[in-house]
Amino acid sequence: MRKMLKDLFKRMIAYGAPKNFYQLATSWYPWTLCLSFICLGLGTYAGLYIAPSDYQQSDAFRILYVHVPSAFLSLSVYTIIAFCSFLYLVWKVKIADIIASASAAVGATFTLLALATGAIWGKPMWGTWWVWDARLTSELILFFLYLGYICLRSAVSTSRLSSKVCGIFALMGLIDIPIVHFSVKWWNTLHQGPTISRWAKPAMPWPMLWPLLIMMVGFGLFYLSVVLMRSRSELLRRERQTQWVSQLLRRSSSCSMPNTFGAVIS
Amino acid sequence: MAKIPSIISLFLLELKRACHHRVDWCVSWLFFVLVVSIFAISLGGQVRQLLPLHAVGIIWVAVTLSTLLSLEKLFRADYKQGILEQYLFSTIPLSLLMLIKAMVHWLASGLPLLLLTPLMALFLGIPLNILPVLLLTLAIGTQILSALGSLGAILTVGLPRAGILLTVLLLPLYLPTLLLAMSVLASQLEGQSTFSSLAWVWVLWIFTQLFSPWISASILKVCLRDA
Repeated sequence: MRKMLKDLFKRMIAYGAPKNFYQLATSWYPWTLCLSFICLGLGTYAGLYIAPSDYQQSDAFRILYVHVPSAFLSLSVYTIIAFCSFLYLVWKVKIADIIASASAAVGATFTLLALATGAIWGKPMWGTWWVWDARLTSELILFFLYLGYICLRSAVSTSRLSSKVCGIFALMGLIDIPIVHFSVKWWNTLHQGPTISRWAKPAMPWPMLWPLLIMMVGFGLFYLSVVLMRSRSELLRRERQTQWVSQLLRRSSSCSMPNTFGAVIS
Repeated sequence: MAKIPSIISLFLLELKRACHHRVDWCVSWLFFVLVVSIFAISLGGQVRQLLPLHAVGIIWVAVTLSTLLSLEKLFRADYKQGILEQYLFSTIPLSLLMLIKAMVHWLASGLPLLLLTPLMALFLGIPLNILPVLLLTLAIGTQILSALGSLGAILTVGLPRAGILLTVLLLPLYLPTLLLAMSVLASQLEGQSTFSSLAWVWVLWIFTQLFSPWISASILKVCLRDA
């Protein structure tokens, strides 16, 4: 048992090495991308045509098949960024930092998508585009944190300092989000908040639920593939002085595709 | 405990240095007065119709913004003159040094704003009975802002364009303080008990005072190695 654990640990460390991670990412990302497109296509079709319409909201509820996965991922991507930053700050895992930097823009996009779809849904349902309740406010603040993180990344040129600074900022933001959520809730419950937003979520029947689950898997796989792709190019940029990258370059240029890597490296 | 005189002398030294750079601090006080005045002026004759809750909100936002404005200079000179590196070798614990910096920042930025607030309350027509609570929330709140702000300032000390970046990074972190302080003021205005919401502001105060010097010390250690 102990030997197995040790073995597993060793293998994980091996995948943490830049070269192995590069190979892993290269072999995985076409599959994840294909799978995510299949899931997204199936989920969209099922959500639009197969799932029965809601007895209260009729067809308007169908935006939920985009809204819920993107809202879910916006939070989980931020958690992943914070977790990776923690890994980088404590154990100096280089790959973790690369994954964090590759995730930020994707997470910001998911957050924007969640906010936009929420507003579009809110207009016919609540009668207003926007309410300052706890969930919406903390989602908006999450968006600002993402943007701040991206700005901070691009502000520092030396990559090691920027990784550390950004990592600390990501962890600070992770503490901030629940506090914002709590304090807005506190404000609202104290002083007659918008009651429309406190609709109880009814349990979802199975025919409505399964397309949602497929969409969530699709969104997750899409995130995974984009992150693999982005961290691959980031990895090449950072490791451009190492031997394995130059070998890779030479091999790829002998295969007469000089532009694919040349563009990334320069 | 032989360190206490050296801590006190360091505190006085930092205060003296803050006095030396007084123009930088005066800019942030002036900014506070200007923001509130511009609000009042742009409302024209309608300023009397402003609800007290809106007026205290304006004061709080102005305080937050001018605190942000003063933060960029907090560690800039120390960084350029190499004083931060010397801090690392000091016999006084680094977290204590960071606490001193945050306290000096509060004395130079938070306290003057607090003193200016009654005047600004006059501009916005805030009723006198709300003024003590406003000052109380500001007194606790500006200390929270200073503590969090010194954390952000140390994080961005070596970066170009740190000022605007600091604003973007810190405003989301300042939001809980602002919200809880406003909920205290709203309770007071509605005649409810302010005890419970004020307790949450105190909780925030205790947490920031306890942890932020310690976190800024570790940030300093981590970042100086690479800068």
